[in-house]
Amino acid sequence: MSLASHKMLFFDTLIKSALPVTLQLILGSFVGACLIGLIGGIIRGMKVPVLSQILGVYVQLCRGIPDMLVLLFLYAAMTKGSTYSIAVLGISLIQGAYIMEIIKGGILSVDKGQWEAAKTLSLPFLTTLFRIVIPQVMLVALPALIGQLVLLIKGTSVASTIGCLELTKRAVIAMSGYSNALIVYGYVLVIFFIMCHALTVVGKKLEKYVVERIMGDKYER
Amino acid sequence: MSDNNNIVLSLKNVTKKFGDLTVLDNMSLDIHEHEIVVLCGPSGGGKSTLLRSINGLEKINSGEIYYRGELVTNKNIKSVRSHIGMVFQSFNLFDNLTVRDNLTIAPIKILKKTKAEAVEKAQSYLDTFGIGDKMDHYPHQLSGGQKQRVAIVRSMMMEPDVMLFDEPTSALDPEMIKEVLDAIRRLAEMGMTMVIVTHEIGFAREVSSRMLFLENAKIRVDASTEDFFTNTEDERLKQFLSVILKH
Repeated sequence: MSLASHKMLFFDTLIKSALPVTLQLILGSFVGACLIGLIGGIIRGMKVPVLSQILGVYVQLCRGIPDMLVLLFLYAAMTKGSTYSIAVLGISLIQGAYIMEIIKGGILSVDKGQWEAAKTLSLPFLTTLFRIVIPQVMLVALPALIGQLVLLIKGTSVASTIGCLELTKRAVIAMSGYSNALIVYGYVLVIFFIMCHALTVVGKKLEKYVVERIMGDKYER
Repeated sequence: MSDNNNIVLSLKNVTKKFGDLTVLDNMSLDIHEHEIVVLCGPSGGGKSTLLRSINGLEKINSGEIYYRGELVTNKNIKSVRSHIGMVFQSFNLFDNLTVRDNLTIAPIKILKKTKAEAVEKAQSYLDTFGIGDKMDHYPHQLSGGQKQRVAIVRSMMMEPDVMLFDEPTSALDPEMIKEVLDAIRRLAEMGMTMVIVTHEIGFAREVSSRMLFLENAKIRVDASTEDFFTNTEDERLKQFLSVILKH
């Protein structure tokens, strides 16, 4: 393979065309999954009757069905929407379920005395939730959330199954023009690894920062 | 004590059950302004549940609770609570807030105080209780005794009409107990109406005006402090006191 074709494969096809799609998938699903996870996690953590049970079933479904099938099913079921938007929806639903369980666990881990003290001070529910409980949830849940985000980044490659032109799909298509599969997949593999590794590194710093913001700089776990 | 106008809290035939277990059995009780009532008795007698029922942390199964003559219902429980301070055994300070925010969050939100007003008041209370330098500390930087004093100030910030103490010193090292008891003594000097669950029987005898002995979900003895310790006829109380005073 000539240098020119390496350049064309890596820069033109993967970095310029495919990476932006993958990044958009990551960003879109991140926002979607966090919204679903936060709202659902609060409902589950607060044990809101009926809603809580319905969300429990949803979580079980997402856990019990392969990601690829969820996307294929949505793709078949939806008559409108680009492959990109269907992929964002699917990944948000799947990852949202896992984030929901993390948030729920975090809420349950907050001492019920915190709620009781807030009650005796007549603090409104939402003030208690957002000023007192959620910050404490973040404290315990942040490492797990960052881990889940790494899974989300890797998980975007499943969008290739419905033809969304992200990194993996581009690589599969590019295979026809190049003879060496190891090189084509190797590039994609490296790009994904760099993204996930960067997040892990940034995540460690973020964790430290968040802990300081929540508990002051003299706090030790 | 028969004057009805100064009754702050009134319980009428209150029953509370946890499953099959009755923890408050048809209990009636009036608490008057400036009274300092200490609840004592063996564990499981219903002392804590009684306190927690008063401000709605436990839902009672039957009976009525009145605050200043007004029946407490689901609708007005929030406004009633804002007049009732509560101090817990395990402090329950908000772990993620500084002392400053712990003390000012409710007065700013509920009493509509300005931040400056609230902070000024917090500072003067902290000074009173000997922890004036802790304003910017987080709870994890405080000792147990300091935490509990902050918790007392936090309740006082809401300008309560009555304060409830649920075993305020049970989670403390012996040397820290005194600082918390001193803080409660200060409230007594201010004329605060208080209901206190405690095993510190010496302190109870010194500070209270009235003592209740709770056992098996009932108020077994209800007497002035003087009578409670010297003139009781109740055999079970005598036995309880002899054990608790000796140890």
